[in-house]
Amino acid sequence: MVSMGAIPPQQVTWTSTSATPTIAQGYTYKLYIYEESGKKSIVTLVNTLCGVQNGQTICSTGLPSTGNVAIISGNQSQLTATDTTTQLESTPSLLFTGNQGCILRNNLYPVGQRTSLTANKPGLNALLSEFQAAKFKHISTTPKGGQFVVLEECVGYIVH
Amino acid sequence: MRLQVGSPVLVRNTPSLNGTCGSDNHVCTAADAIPSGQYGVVQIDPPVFESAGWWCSRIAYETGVTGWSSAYPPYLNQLTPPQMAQGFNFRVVGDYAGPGLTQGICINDGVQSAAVLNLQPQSGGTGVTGTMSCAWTMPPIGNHITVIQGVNTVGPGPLSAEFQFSVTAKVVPQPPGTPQNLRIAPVSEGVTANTLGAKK
Repeated sequence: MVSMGAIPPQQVTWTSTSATPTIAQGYTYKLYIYEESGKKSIVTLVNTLCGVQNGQTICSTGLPSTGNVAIISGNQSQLTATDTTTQLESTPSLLFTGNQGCILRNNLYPVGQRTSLTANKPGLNALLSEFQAAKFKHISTTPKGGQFVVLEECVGYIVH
Repeated sequence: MRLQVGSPVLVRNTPSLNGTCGSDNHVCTAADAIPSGQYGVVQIDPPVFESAGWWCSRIAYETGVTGWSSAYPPYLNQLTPPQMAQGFNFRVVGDYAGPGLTQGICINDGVQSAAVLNLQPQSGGTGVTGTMSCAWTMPPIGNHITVIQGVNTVGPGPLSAEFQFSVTAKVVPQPPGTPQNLRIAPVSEGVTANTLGAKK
């Protein structure tokens, strides 16, 4: 179980069809990420390692930090392989759906985890929007010493 | 018949140990060698027993080069059937120059399909020039023959004519296979790198 904290290093793993480990390791891999908000991004994976497990070519590499949005619950991603010689790109893999919770200010919160942040009145709406975009559900707003303490819970989907 | 290069092998323009290499017919050097591990397909040309006592076969290598190579192992290793490429796609291309055509026909192991015509009018004369190509999913085992027919059904002369010319098989590059079973997980829950092999 992951508890709230810095985003741990992520590993991307997949099965490479119709290729030996040596060949599969020579391909370039791109991760297409589709966020629930509609934003799209492409992350190139580097330093891929491939080997054989149970007769299948399995490949793995670290997920660059720019691709961390792929692990957010509800966000989806697909992987393609490109032959560097011919520049031909494979069809995309089936969609992978992130399931590790919410990312807020470079911290990872599992679904169900609550957290609070403080804002002054001019900054309150911006903070609420930030929580919403990070897939938190608003629990309460409490005035305290001229400021507002906002309590939110990670739910893993955008609450409209 | 699909082959794998056992030891680096030259690709000559003629079936002779004196044969030249490349489109400019230069004297072959080590730079012309196909490295071991590459694959190729034996063409329908009959093997040639050249004067120095070597059998030569005409091979279309998957690097895109086609020519004559010494056939005996360790230079070329015949693959056993389980290692044969299944459904390996080739494009068979024929150069054509002659009267205008109305149709091109591919006959791959007796199976007919339409040829793709890429013909332009000849400069300063009648007729056309260009290529005719056939897509061909190569069967894995056995002897194979492909024929390209050009057909002319208009104008003077016979209603249909068949033109013969040499063909060259080329590999049609295929994209990599679709990655499967994509997973993203914290390192501690995923497959660690040292279980997968050496770093590139």
